[in-house]
Amino acid sequence: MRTHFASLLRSGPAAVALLVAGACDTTLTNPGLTPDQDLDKPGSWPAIVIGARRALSDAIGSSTTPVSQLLYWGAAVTFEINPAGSTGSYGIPTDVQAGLPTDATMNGDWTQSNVARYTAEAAVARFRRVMPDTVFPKSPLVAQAYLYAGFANRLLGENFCQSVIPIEVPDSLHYVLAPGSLGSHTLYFLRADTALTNAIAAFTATGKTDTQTVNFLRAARAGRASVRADLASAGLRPWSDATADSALIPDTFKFQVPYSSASPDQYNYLYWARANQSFRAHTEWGTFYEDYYRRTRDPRVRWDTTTKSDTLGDAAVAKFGGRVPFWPEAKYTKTSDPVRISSGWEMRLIEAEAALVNNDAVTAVDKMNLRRANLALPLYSTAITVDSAWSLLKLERALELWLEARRLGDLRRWIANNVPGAYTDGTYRVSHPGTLSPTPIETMTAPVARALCFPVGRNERETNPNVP
Amino acid sequence: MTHHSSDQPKPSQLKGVLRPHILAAVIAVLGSPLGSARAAAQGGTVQGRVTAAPTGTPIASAEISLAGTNLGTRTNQDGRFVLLNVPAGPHDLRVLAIGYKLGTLRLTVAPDTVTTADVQLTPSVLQLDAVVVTGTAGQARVREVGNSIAQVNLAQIKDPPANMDQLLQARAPGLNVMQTSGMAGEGAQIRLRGAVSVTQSNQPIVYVDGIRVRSEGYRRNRPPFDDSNGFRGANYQASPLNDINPADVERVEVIKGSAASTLYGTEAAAGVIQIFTKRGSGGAPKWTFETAQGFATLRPFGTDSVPYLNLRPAGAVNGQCHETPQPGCSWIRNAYRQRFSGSVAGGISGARTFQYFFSGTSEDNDGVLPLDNERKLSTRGNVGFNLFDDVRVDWNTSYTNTDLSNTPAGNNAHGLVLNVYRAERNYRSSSNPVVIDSLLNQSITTGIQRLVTGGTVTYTPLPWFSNRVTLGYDMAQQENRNLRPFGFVAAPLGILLDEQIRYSILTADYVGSMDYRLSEQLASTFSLGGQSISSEEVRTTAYGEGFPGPGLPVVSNAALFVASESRLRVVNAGFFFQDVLKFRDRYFLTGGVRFDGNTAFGKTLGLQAYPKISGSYVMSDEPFWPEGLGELKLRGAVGWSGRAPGAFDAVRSWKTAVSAGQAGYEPGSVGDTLVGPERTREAELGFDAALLKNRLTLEATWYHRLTSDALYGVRQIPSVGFPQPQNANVGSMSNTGIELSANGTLLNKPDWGLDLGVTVYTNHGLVRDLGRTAKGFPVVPFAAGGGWVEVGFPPMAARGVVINNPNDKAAPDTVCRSSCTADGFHIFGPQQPTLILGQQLTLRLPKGITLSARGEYQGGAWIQDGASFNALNRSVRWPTCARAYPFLYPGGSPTIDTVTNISQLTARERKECVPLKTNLDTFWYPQDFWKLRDVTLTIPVGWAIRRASSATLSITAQNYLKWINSQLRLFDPEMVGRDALDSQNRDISEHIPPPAVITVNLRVTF
Repeated sequence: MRTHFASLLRSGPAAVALLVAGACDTTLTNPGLTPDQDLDKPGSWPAIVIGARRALSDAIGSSTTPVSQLLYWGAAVTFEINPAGSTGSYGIPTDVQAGLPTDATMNGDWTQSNVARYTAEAAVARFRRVMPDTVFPKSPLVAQAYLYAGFANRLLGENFCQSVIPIEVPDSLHYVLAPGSLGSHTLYFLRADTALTNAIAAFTATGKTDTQTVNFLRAARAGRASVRADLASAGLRPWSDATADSALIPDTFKFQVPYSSASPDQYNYLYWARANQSFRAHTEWGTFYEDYYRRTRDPRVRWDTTTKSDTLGDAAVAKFGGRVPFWPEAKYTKTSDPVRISSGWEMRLIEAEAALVNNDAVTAVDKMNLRRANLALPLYSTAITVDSAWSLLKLERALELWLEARRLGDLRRWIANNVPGAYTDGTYRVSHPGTLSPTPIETMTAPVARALCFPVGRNERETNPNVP
Repeated sequence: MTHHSSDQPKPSQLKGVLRPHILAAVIAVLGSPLGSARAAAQGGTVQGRVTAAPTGTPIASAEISLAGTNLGTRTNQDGRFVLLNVPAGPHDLRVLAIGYKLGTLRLTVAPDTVTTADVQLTPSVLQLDAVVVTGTAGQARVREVGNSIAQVNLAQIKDPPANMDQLLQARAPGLNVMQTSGMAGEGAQIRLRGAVSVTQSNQPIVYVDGIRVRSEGYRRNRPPFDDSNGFRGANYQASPLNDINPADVERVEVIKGSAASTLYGTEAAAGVIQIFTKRGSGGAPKWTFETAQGFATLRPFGTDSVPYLNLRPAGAVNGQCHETPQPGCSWIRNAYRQRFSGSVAGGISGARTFQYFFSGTSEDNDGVLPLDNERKLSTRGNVGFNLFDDVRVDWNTSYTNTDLSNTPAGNNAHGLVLNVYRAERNYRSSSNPVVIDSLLNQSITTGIQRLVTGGTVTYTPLPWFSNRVTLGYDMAQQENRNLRPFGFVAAPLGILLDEQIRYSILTADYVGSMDYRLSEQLASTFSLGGQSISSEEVRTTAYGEGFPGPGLPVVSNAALFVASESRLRVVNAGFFFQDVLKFRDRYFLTGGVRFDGNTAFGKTLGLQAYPKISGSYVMSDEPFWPEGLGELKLRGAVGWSGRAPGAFDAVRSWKTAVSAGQAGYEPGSVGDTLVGPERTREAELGFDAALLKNRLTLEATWYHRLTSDALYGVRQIPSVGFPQPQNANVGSMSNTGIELSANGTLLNKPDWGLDLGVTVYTNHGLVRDLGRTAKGFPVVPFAAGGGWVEVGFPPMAARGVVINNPNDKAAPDTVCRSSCTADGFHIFGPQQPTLILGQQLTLRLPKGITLSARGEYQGGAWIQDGASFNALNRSVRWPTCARAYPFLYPGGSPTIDTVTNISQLTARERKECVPLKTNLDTFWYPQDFWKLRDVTLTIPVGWAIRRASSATLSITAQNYLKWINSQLRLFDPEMVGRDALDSQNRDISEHIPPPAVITVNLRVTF
């Protein structure tokens, strides 16, 4: 018995040696991330498009990483909101508060905006490679990928000062890109125009007339109208191209990117930053909209007047030398509130602006009044000068597109073109808590010029050999 | 190992003998029945006494062994030992004790007789014949080892350490143990010879009794979403090292780098810590009981006007804020700590020798913050026995249960410390203790259960051939629970996180060693082995918010709850060969190579080879060496080891991104199919000496470490799509420094003695090359781990904006004129110390009383004060700007006036005290400090306890005195929190510094 046991025991080293040898097989696949080649499989294709949509939501402003807050910080730079506390987590950094964000601060925004563009454009490239030639031109998935590529490019063009467009390197197996060079921001508009044109073609080619497809098609047209308005402002297209698209969009149409309360990384960032859990990082106190909403109750710029008057922002604000009242915006009231990126009412304002470019104040005011009538707000008189109509248009776009990451682009193109009219929202009334000053201490253009676009992110400058 | 010539082949027989030796070895290791031929024969008994020469003092715990067998035991308190059932025949008896030279005695044992073997040992401080295992294939004597090995023997430590971090702190040059905050359960950052990697962990790997155990910090108790910043917890990391009860430890061996860690392969570039727990000795059970009672108290860390930065000192006249919140109360307390432990060790001597050691410890340690508490229960059972004459089995098992409760702290908007520091400009808009106390209505708890079990079977079929097989399993189960209940002031509907993490490491290890003699004066030990380390981390997290009402919730009570899961398994496996040539037992040359494969390597990479070579020369054994001069050993080594890349680094992959309830794909990792380990080559030269009749010992080592194929997180070009940095083997970095240790006996009288010791450690890191990316573009300098990586500067350097005229009443001059980066910033210096000086003193007094003290200075590093920046750029009134405020807010005006009195402000005040001007880049400060790590009074009190064989009362004060560079006007360099165990940066956040700890410890042995 002992001998058997001893033999068994002495076999132990051999067994362990075999075990060790077996354990030398270090090949294994960990779950969680999806290898690139798996996305070539048809079962993955719908998810590729969903990813493009999510990337666009993130670029506009969700609580995921890398953090992008174009909506939020753009709102701070353009006086749509005032800082009320945090400068780090869910807050507004001091350089953004001062209106001159640095390339380091904007790194995450630049990166995520490019991820949004890349994800959609890479989806198109992948579909082109893996889909049968007969399927690709009329695939709804291809059409949607083009759609999100268009809006991602518009987001970049309207918010960033310059463009960096990578160059596609022909490769039969992968989507390979070489780094691009600095260029005009309008290159993004041209790219968006192309993508949205392709989207329109693909949605049309599907032959579908269901509600979803029709909405996608309208979104593509509305997006192209806005991009063509941007291009028209830059002298790269006639305004008639924009109005040709806008005319096809009904007043009540809207296209939104979703956010979700299902997970804290999918929250609407602007809302969450002021959701009082525990962040109360921005306020309408001191902005143009504070007083405007008190007077007009225009629902487009609603803020929460029910907040207790003694509730203050979540931390002291350097700019104001202390705490400020917490009167948060109320356009977004839930973590899942979507952000509108195109609408019929925006189309009417494009038509109004096109009229003003042609010095047609009457048509412009009529177009603006369509929305005001819809909201039961007092209508503007058509008996006004073109300059006054421009002022109204600037105001109406400020109200209509409030907190939608669009204001910076508007201000830049108008100031660049030196269009007539005043910027009623472009003043920043601040003072100390409880003693609101009627005198603006800062405006969009004086005494210190504020940024009208965001710089290209520092990472791009430090990694791309073509970007100085 | 020394062998009698009669057991060895003659040189002339060598060719003929080697082959059968190897054949026999192969047969034996494969478990041939031939091996069982050696049945236990009728034996005799060997007994004796070990004493010190020339005093005749008995030596306790000396290791007794018979060469070429597994027979062994330890001496008792009287120095006596007994070996039963010793096979008849000639034997070499070996006796080894700490502080003495190896003693050998040739004896012949006859059946059924008692052989007496009394041995006298000669004092030796170099311990050249002590056996070490770290960095060697099997075992080796210190004289054979060509690299520096730091040993910490618990028997020689005066201050009873509260945990493993304290046990290691300031014990050896090159071993840097930095505390990271004053939270209960906080772990320490351990660095051996500085940083070896920019992107991978720099914590050394840890073995306990030959079993690889977790060395990376436990996951911080915080929500799973990167930007859920408002819901952070206590913002610190617990260390798995502290699951080990220091009272169970016999000794620790530390090897500091690749020159010695080659045989550990891909994971060992940051060094290895080997912990050996206690074993029993022959004879009657030895019972040891120990209790420690004490308290932790926070020492000042602020300015003279607010030494505790609004926390106010414990013992404030208005009491504890958490108990009775009222103006003037204190948020900190003198925190009670207690520990009870007991152990029993013993065994049976003889051929079937059996040893055991069982222990149990209970600890209950409050922290200085109101909710901080650590409760720990640990048990251990170590048994070892000779199953047969040639088979020894050692099996060790430990279980530890840790329950932690913490106060919300660190950079946490819901945290106590942040909101107290910022007073009325905090997130609650109030410094009222009642308001702030409402933040403590939350619960941050962590439970960790840890089981480490494993055993070693040593099979010695032939005197010159041994096999060692080790199997081990380390399993830790962590539960992080983070509850803001319904009605919580900053999240009224409540939030709950529950995270379950299982860490496991499976070790399978085989080493075979063959001793053979090539000539009368030349011997060799050849070893080969294989090792597989399979580690796994499985994490599931549940997160819920919005509860229906008060009560104790579970996640599924919430209106919204989500889950996340991650699974990560990594296998590292390899095999090695080593040969040690020994000439005249004073010249030693070791060569070896390890081949490794790893899950994370790129598919085309294959096995990685790590060679090593080392040599040592015991010059003092030469005939020409004067007898009275002492001992001297020269040594040198060069070796390679590595650090594996991340598990997903080789694969281009996409991550899941959900949108409106639909799952999609977003870019994840761009992937590098060629990614492999970073390879670190280390060379070291040094000597160990004992001079002046052993009254002065010196150890000196110069080292140079070069990491090639360094894994840098190469930033991707954002416009090209994949945003995450990709680990790639580009560039290189180096560390160079010296380690000196000198210990002298200044006074050595029978009743009085004075020993002094100093250690010097320097480390200068340098980024040598950043390499080029796979696409051929040069890698640009980048930020990593809170530091800056650029050629010509230390890795993870402190990069920022220098104020050249900080104290001038003038505009800030921030032009970088020296140590400038390519983008114009200033490099202040490294974030890890470049100079560490240790001081030790032991005063022996009559009646066995000793007074010992250890101090440690660390210098040359810089730290970023993020807590001050975070406050100042939010307009918080901060003590460092107290002088500036009357000028900025004249007459108490609420409006800042940056014009009228600007001439009265210094340049630094203009950069730091005007909120809109603050810039984190200027908040770098020298982190030089000196701390009295411990001062201990030890009093033997065995006379006072009936039947006790010994008893010791010790009173210890740890970290009570400190000096910190005055440029760092607030806080303490050892308060960084967050994921500080793994990262390289030093960044002060809204924490408290490590408190001083006063402990009274009584240890009684029966």
